[in-house]
Amino acid sequence: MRILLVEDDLKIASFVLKGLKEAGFAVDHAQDGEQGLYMAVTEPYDTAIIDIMLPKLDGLTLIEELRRKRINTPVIILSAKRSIDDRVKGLQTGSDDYLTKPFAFSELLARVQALIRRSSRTAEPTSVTVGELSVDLLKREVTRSGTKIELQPHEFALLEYLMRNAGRVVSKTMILEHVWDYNFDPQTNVVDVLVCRLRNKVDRDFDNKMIHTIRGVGYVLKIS
Amino acid sequence: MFLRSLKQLRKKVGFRLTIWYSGIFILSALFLFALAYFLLSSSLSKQDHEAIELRLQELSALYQTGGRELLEREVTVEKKFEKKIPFFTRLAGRDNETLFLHIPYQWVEFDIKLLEKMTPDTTMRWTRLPLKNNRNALEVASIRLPNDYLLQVGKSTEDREKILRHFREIFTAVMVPLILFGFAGGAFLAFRALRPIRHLISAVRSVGPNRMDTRVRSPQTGDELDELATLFNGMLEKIETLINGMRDSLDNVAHDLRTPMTRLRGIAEIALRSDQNLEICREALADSIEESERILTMLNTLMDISEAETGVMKLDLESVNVSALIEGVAELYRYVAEDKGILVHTMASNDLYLTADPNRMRQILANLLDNSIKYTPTGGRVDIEAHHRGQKIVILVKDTGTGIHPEELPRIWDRLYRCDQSRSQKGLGLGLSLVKAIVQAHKGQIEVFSEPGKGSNFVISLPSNNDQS
Repeated sequence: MRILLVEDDLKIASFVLKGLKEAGFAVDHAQDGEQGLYMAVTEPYDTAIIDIMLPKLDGLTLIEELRRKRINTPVIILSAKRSIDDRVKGLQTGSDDYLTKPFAFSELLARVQALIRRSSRTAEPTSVTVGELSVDLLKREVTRSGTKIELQPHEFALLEYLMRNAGRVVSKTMILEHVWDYNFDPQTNVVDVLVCRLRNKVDRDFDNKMIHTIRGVGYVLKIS
Repeated sequence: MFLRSLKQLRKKVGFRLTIWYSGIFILSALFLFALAYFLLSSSLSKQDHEAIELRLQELSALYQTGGRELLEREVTVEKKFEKKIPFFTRLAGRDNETLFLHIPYQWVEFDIKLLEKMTPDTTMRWTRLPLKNNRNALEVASIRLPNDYLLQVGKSTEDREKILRHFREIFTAVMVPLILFGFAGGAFLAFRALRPIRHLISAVRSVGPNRMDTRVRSPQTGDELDELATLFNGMLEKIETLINGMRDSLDNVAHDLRTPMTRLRGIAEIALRSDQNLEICREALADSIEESERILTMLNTLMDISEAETGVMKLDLESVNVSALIEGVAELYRYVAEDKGILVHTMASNDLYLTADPNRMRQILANLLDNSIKYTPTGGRVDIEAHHRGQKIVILVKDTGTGIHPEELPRIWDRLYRCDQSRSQKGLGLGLSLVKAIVQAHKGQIEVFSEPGKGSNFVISLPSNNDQS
């Protein structure tokens, strides 16, 4: 999987590059819009991460140019503005995403992976299994070591989301967006409460815990 | 130098107005005088002509009854009595030779010979006998007598001219002060008309970065300039709100961020000083991330509040079903409430619609519900209800919690004010400020009724969306 990063801030670029490489991606870096456009046109990428404020050619124009050339690489737009302005809205296709600075790297990573998964159109699995925990997505049944676990709809949605992203950290914002379709921070412990409930059902009666809290970042489901 | 100052003057609206006003004033005065002069002159000449013709008819009748003798006698008698209006009388033969001539002594300067040289007119026509070096003329009417003789009666235009000359003199005498008056009047009017504009200019001039409270004095006349002043004041007000809002939020941000920034710095410093104990360092890093997350949330919320307060918040307005909105928010907090043993009850009929930004609405209801659940003890109850009240839609968030002390009630909307001084509940102290700002950005109001120990009741009223109901 090959990713293009167009970002002029070298510190941000270096931590994103490092993180993406550690996650097993091949990453190219362009420091300005023109170079970014050249690279995006000449090389095939699975995803591009493009900052809006760029020297020489701004990010939005870059994306417009790409789309005009019928290059439909999925794009993650990075912006320092909190509200998505209309131009970005107009640009966004179904395969694009938007992330505001400052962002947690884990969130960027999760979004990159989601984009690649969506654009590669892998067949929807009917069940997900992580270690001894397995979820039947059609029957909406959860079993751990053969024991059936009863979950309420939101709990199920959260577990499914964590399972699909097994081994990856998902942030509270992402959980809010995914489980409740809310895109603001209600400044509350709604997510903590939901995770706590899910833990009680999935982890409490077992010795090896699967749902872990990464302080300040989010949660991860993995085989410990 | 003079030309330049004249050019400068020409650019002034006041000067141009004055010129236009006085120009139109003088022209219309001229026109009126010309019209009056023309009417007077034509009526005077008509009067003269009628008199001459009457006399001509009279004399011609006399001639026909008594011949030349009677005519001569008549004229001589009249001459003796020195009638007020003298006439020139001439009787001419077939070849236009003068047979009898009577000319009043004041008109002897007229060259009567000219009349003899003219081919006499058979029809009643007017002959003008001009006088040298004078505007006066002798107007003569002729009539052919039955014996082919020619009878002519005339009159000098002297009297008429005298009246008209007098008229012209008056006109000239009047015109000079009239022009001056027109100019002065124009200047006065321009000065008066431009007064609100001068106020506007001086007000605008006095507006500066530190003086936004200047307002234009409104003439209170209800005209366009009044409207301009009102509009301008409105604009100033808006700018002032914006600038004050920006300044306040900048101050607030600077002030409010200092505390968490200090904490952040402290955490990092302690971690650096501890002898590279990995566990302590990890802990400190996690603390730093949490702290920076808090700073970010605070910053975002402060930005939201000031955007909403200054009216620049971008609202994606659409028709929102209130019932669905309330259900959604209650659903978000269902587990939180369940865990705490609080009953969240919703009640809203399905036909209530608002024109609002659904995300912002969710945010404020979530904030209120969050507060209610936080401050309501186990076994309590939170009600969210919505109903019509006149043209408004009222949304209530009512709890059986600890309530708010009356002394604290007015301060709960303040930024960073927290009733809970012990800070046992975590929060930024920005929630209610944001709620109020967003409600006001939606042109609504929020009130709170509370009794310590019994609970609080937050009442939001918003304009309803009638076309959907």
